[in-house]
Amino acid sequence: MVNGIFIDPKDVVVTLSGPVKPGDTVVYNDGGVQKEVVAKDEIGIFHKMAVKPVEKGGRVIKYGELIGIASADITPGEHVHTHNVEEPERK
Amino acid sequence: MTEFYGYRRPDGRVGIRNYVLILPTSVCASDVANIIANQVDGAVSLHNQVGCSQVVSDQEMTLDFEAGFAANPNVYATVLVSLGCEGCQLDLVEERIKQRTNKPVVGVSIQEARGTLKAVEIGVRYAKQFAAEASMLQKEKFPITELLLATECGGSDPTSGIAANNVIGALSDRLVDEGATTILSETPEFIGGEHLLAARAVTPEVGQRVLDIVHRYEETFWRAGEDIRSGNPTPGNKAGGITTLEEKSLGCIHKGGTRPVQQVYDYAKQIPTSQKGLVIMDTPGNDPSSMVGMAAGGAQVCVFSTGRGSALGNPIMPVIKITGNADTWDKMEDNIDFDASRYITGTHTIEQLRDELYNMVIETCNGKQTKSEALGINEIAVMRTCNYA
Repeated sequence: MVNGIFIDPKDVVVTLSGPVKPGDTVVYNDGGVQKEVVAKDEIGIFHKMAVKPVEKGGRVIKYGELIGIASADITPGEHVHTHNVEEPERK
Repeated sequence: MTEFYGYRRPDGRVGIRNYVLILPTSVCASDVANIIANQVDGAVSLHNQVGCSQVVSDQEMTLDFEAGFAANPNVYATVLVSLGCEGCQLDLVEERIKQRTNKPVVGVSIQEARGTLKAVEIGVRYAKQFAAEASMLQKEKFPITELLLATECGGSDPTSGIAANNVIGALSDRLVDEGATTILSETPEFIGGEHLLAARAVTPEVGQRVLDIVHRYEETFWRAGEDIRSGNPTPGNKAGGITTLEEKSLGCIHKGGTRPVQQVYDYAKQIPTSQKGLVIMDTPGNDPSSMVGMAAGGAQVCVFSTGRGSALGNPIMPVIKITGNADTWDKMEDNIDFDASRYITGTHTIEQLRDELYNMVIETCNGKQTKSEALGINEIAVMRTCNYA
């Protein structure tokens, strides 16, 4: 059953529709194709999990737009939140 | 091309309802206007909380709301009801209406009529005449390009940003691609994402207008010693999974889809029928006053996302409510028209839900009652910046 919400093809994260523990499989729909990533962290409902790697300093994309800058290397399956994402600089 | 059934108005606009509007020009005439409307089948009224004791800029917004409601194509004709001595005088309101439309409008003043009872009689006679005329109108088929859709979100929860607003955004994109017009509203909710919206503007001038309306909105709070940007995202937002201000804002503005921003309109200003594509209107985050601004702009129908479950409607613009929260759908199906939680559970794609919602919009245009219409939910509010004088 799908438990990850993948909004835009450019996104690097999914939003979880239920909590997961390390080792749980997150299933999400990428343009009609079901994909899976194994969770590495304990992550709460409606929090984000990486499905693509982002290097430190790289762009964190959700809704197809920049929502923040990675403050640490992020690998698929990791919780993505304030501990590894910074507010982007604003014009 | 998709078509819908509507009423052709003499000013060239197309309505999907055929109301006789009994419009109180101020709070002092609201009860009398409602008594008149209750007496006439096909008439509708509202509680106007403003219209007197207002500073100039606030009175201007009130006049725009009143003229915009009378000009909204869902209205066949308007009976204005005034007390007689309020700021929004009959002739002032009538003049503003005539700047927007050539539809029929008449007025009654309670003081001039020698009191409530006599004003009610005059108003009912006007209204029943209009209602009889309106009932003779036949619906015609119009192309989807005549549609002006309002979008709104209220009583939001995390499902609004990840499901309901995505479906509305996809609907907005489809309508824009088919030549219709959609409105993204709620200026304070752009904060943090305003540069993203500005970057989608068709010209640098329109982009600057997006930034300007956000700045102007903030300024009205600064003048009162308040700051609406500080503390966002809130600790509660962060606990709920929102990481940055951009992410919070995007959850809201995603209901405007992804198409270019063609123009920015001030609150309750009339959107010309020649305007196509996605536009922005400067409205409050407060739902009833935001919807009033868009209805005054000429929107025939509104799609409204609500995670917690809003019960709102609008007197002249049908409101289709959509939730991404399965519990809310289960508890409040009496109030909510569309279940977008099927995206979260994975049984439906955004495209499937978008098309289903599109069909519901067309059915609503064709006459199907929304839940809030069936329940007679007509509450409104009007944007303002100052206290009553």
